[in-house]
Amino acid sequence: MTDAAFVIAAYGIVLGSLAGYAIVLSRRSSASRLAERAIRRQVRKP
Amino acid sequence: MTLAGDALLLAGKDLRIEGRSRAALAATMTLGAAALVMVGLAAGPDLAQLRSLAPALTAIAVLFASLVMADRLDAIDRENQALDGLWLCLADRRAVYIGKVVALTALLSALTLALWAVALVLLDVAGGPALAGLAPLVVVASASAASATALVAALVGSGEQRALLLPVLLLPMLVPTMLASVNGSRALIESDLPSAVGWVAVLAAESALFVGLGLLAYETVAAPE
Amino acid sequence: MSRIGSPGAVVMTAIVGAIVAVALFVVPADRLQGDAQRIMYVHVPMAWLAYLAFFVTLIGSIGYLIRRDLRFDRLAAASAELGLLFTAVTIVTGAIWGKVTWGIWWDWDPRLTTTAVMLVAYAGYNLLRGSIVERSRRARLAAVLGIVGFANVPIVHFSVLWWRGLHQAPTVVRPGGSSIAPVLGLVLLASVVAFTIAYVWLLRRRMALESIRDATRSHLESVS
Repeated sequence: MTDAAFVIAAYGIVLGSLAGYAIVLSRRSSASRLAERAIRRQVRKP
Repeated sequence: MTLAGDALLLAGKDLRIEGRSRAALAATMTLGAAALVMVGLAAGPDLAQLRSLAPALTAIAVLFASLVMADRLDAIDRENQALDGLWLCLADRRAVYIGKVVALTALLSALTLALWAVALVLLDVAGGPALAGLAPLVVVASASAASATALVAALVGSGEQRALLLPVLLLPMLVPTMLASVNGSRALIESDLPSAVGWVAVLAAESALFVGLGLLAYETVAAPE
Repeated sequence: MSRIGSPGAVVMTAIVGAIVAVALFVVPADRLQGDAQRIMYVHVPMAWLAYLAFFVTLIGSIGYLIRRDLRFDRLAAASAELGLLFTAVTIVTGAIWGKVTWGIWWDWDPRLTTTAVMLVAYAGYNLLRGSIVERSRRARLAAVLGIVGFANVPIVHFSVLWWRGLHQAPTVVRPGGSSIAPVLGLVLLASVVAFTIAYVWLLRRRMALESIRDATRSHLESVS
């Protein structure tokens, strides 16, 4: 592997990790928000 | 009763229980010896190499056996919620922590010295009269390990994941103790007394640090729900 | 609340993207290390962010123990998770840089070893959090661990000064002032700032998730 390839790999890992974490976080947040709304509605029912 | 008095009473209780059942000590010594044989086998038959690795291999065997020892000692208080009762009767609950540290130091010292005796034979360690220094080194190292272990054992509590959490949380904290005892025992084998004394001083400082930490944090982490 | 396609996310992505472009294509290559030295512009910010994240966890932990306000615990939890990510990325990018510079992926050098210990310590912190169901107990125990665990950070940073090894001694934050070339130093600083903005953005979103979970839990508790 050339030096350039190592550099690209390193940058890819950094940007990929951050982007991947952001995406997973977004999905978990959406799911949690849905669950919270559903439970809140259930709790408020007479 | 004073903090020290209560602590010694509690340590005495744990040591008496252990003395009667001998469950923890027998099991952990067997485990430690087995671990020593396994690491010796894995490191290969070259006796010269094993001799030079003796402090490290013994430390690993002690580490594994200590995890079992710590768990066993803590189990005494978890049975029938004995800790709740202790918590209610004590004026200063830090006595539970100090008591555990004292008891664990005694048991770990016995365990480690026994394993060293096995290691000296199995790994063909030759040393001079300086080897007698292993006893005080082991006691101080055990105190250091015990003070960290008692705190972490209280932290992980009695949940399902205890078996996983205890080593994961404890091992990073034991790295300085392990390094100091490996270097100290190596110095004793090489009859380098000044270095060995230096490492004992490092271990004593580590003990003081962990005990200080434990005294500050124990009530917060160990309070029964 | 900011989402993936929100203006905040777009701006953050643009800032990070711009810095990456500068680091890869604009800044001249190092005279000695060549192009491999460009890894510094991502490796160093990741290491810095690991320190910062664990420091924020420390603050959150202390804050919780004093005020018993769950907002501090949410801060500590969110930052510890990010710190773990940054530490892992630091180790991986460091290994890549090490392979190019020293020819080996790993060395039992003090900086690398202490960073690995820090990774295990904070992995343990996150495992502990995941294992405790009762909310206030989780916050209390995690707070103690968040304070104790921070001891790793100065040990990692000063390891290169206290013990001899392969890893480079600090060139910026060190006694006697910085020794890095001005242009490279400027780009490095810009990179640190850009990734810190990304950290803050992710931290806020992670805290928001924790807040939603706490709200759900309190709805459930109100009926039980």
